[in-house]
Amino acid sequence: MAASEPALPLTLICLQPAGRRGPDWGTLAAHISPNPMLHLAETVEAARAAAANGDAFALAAAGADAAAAMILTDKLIEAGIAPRALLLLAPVMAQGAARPDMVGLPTLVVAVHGETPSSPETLRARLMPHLPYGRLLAHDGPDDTLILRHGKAIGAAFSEILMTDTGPIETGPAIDPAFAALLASDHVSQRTREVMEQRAKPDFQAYAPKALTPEALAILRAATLRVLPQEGVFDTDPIDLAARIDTRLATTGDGWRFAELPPDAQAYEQALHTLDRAAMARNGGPFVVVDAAAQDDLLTRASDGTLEAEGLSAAQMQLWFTDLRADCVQTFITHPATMGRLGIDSIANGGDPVHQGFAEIGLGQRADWEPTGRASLGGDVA
Amino acid sequence: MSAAGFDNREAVDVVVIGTGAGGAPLIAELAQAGRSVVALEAGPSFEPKRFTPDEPTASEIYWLHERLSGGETPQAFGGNNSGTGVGGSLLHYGAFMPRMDPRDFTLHSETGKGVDWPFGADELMPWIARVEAEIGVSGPTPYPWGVPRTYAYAPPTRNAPAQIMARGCETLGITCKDAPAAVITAERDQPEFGVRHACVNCGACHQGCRNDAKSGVHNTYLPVARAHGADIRPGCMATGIVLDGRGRVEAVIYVEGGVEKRQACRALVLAAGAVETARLLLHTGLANSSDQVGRNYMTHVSTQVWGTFDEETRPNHGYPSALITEDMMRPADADFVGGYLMQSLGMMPATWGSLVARARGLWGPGLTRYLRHYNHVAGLGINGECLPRPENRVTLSAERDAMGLPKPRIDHSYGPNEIAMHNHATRVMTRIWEAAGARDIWAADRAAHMIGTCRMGTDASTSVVDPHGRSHDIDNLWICDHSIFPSAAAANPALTIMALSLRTAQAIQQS
Ligand SMILES: Cc1cc2nc3c(=O)[nH]c(=O)nc-3n(C[C@H](O)[C@H](O)[C@H](O)COP(=O)(O)OP(=O)(O)OC[C@H]3O[C@@H](n4cnc5c(N)ncnc54)[C@H](O)[C@@H]3O)c2cc1C
Ligand code: SF4
Repeated sequence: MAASEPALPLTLICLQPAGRRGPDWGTLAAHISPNPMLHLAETVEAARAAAANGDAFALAAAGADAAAAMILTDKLIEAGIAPRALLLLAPVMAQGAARPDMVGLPTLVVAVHGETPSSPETLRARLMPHLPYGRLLAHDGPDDTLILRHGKAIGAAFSEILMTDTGPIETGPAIDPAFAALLASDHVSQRTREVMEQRAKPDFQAYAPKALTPEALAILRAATLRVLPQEGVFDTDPIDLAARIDTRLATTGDGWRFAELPPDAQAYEQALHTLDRAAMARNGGPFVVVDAAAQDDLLTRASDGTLEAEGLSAAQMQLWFTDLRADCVQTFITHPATMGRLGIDSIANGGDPVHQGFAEIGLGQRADWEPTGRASLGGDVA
Repeated sequence: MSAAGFDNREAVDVVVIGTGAGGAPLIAELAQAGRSVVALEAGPSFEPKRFTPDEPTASEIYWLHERLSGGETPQAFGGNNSGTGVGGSLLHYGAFMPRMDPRDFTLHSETGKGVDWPFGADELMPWIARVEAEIGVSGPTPYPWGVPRTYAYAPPTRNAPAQIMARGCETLGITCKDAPAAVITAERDQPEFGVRHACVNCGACHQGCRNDAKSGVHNTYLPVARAHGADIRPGCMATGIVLDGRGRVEAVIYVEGGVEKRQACRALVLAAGAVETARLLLHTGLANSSDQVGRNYMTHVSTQVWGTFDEETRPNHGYPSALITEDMMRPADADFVGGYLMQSLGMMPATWGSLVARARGLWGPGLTRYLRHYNHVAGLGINGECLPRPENRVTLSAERDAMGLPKPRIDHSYGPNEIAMHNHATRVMTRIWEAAGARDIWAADRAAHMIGTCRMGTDASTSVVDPHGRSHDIDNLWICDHSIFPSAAAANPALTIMALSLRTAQAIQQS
């Protein structure tokens, strides 16, 4: 991630409603480098006015004001006066509180360990999915003395965040050179090549879901890593299967669905929340927080038809899980980077104008131009 | 309106809904006989050269209007089961072209189970031979099973799965042979179409054949139909049927580009496939005095067995199902009635991967590891008899689609016969794969094809159409697609559907 100098002077606009006890913003500002000027805004309107004066600024809020700060940030970004960063201290997200789907801004979220509404577990599941460039920092409570005890660390972390380049972060594997050469060759038709180029485009960490809620996308991201782990095929970033499945869910669909399930996008949303509730009930934390063994246990139950939780029935979860497996595989295996790694040349079955097909098609045969694939496995089955 | 087009307001002799295996041969026959024919096709008209082996993109040739799949053996649709476009499901079918076994016409007489067809194999044989000649079918001559026959083209080259199946079958003493395939292996020039090239073993039959080696109807019957004045209209989804005061069909309502239109006609042929034909009739409430519309929905038992081999198989190479055995049409040790045909299987990666995900149930590191063996796997598959059961049926769900039509719901459950056949086939195919040296063998329980729903028969109280496809209730309404099959029969259906289509065309001309 490229570092950049924060523009100066910087103002830290703190949403601090009158009459509500807030954190010691002054002390915190003193720990931030370079030192920002402090502006306490009693209302959202006041904060908005302060933001509009043209200076570079960052926005901060604590507790129940976090949601309002996020909404304001969203509006400011829309108005073209984006804050440089956002700081949310011990935020509390009330059930069903209105907030933007995605705030694509560097954000520091300070959580408070323990049985609190701002525990790192809760925030990781309920808030972080909305903050694709968010960083979660956790300290001991109580939250009203956070600055007193951890002001220095929080200030330092926020200083770092201020230096973060807000450019979109691309993820996903690259196509191996040999396969890229095959794609460029006359064994591939122009139309197929274009499709492959389109599909090879990177994923974005800040992908804003089109069909699912951000919370559900986060659960799906966690689940797809367990359902189809990509280690062994890619040593770097995996393909963001969840984002790609979400994109697919926002289109017309594949021509059918199980009658026992609601329409695909709804089924996914409901199934993922059912999985999450099961994780809370069985493992004491949201799905994205519980460890891999617990996630696997939950998915095994879904697969066996024994996952009982509020939401979809165990039988529905089992059907949905077959859809999930198929969607993962389909998304994975049709990615050109995967094809390259596995040595799959189905898309190189002929170009235009000459449709060559394949000449060596017998057992153990392969033409020289056909790829082998670094991650392809042979006949030995473990 | 195209040059060959007809005016909507003028009644044409015949409107045909659907241009697939059931619709196309009849459209060509009637047009050649001088009838004015309008064909309404919901899907687009494709340019074969633009077909792509990329599986997600190839879904453009799948029927993607949502279907609700229920029952104990819910079937996958979309890419697994039905196509769309001028040419119907034959654009993406596998082109496996066996003839229907004569015994399957009389299953009930033979076993007391299932139903008999209202005529026997002899009745259909001339039409079968005509279709084979007219579209171009390859296969081995002599053919080791059934009546002697000659195939016009030599079989396509055997790919790795075919070679392995030959090896396994030989070890066990099972006869196998190059499969009859609707694939031409030598160039062919057709006056109404142009040149079709020989198969180049590209493996993408299910994604659409780019050099027209695969014989469909878009490159055979439909060009003939057009040359004789048939007006084939892509992008036209039929949504309603209008009757006149005497209860005969007077016009068809369809939607083109979001606009509702009406085409007057003197006769109507439904050839929209077993789900859509039934859906249209249920939606309009027509031709259903028997309460048989939608019932006896059947599939083929389509169990597959896969294994992993030492040498590379590259299962996307070559015509996918190049080998056949008909030895299991009436196996001696059968604990079921009817029989099944077996084929070797190559498969494109996403289709195979989805099968692995759905039917093998793998996930986690085991799934990833197995996918990495793709270039070393090969499969066997069957198509087997599936007995009619009235509770397996197409009904209308409460949900509506974008056109405002109720989405169809298809309930499908295997009965004991299907389960016994699945188990038998799993055992036999596993033995063949063991004999051929496979490792990590597993079976996929799956059903394919959409059959029944408007069965033909002589009794108007137990069937929807007569033995020529004419509605018992409405004398200028005909059905000509996979829905009229009284029983599933083991053979892959396209050849029989096309033969029936030519036969129904003759009946319409004589009516
Ligand atoms: C993946 C796959 C592989 C197959 N492999 C083989 C094989 O190897 N061998 C074999 O013999 N058979 C095979 N089949 C089966 C074969 O393709 C079908 O049985 C056959 O095409 C069915 O013919 P049909 O006329 O009933 O329907 P279709 O061929 O499906 O034609 C129906 C047409 O009607 C159109 N339509 C539907 N509703 C409407 C409406 N309301 N208005 C206007 N148009 C409408 C559809 O778009 C479609 O084009 C395969 C099928 C699939 C899907
Ligand atoms: S394998 Fe042959 S018939 Fe099938 S799509 Fe390729 S060229 Fe056409």
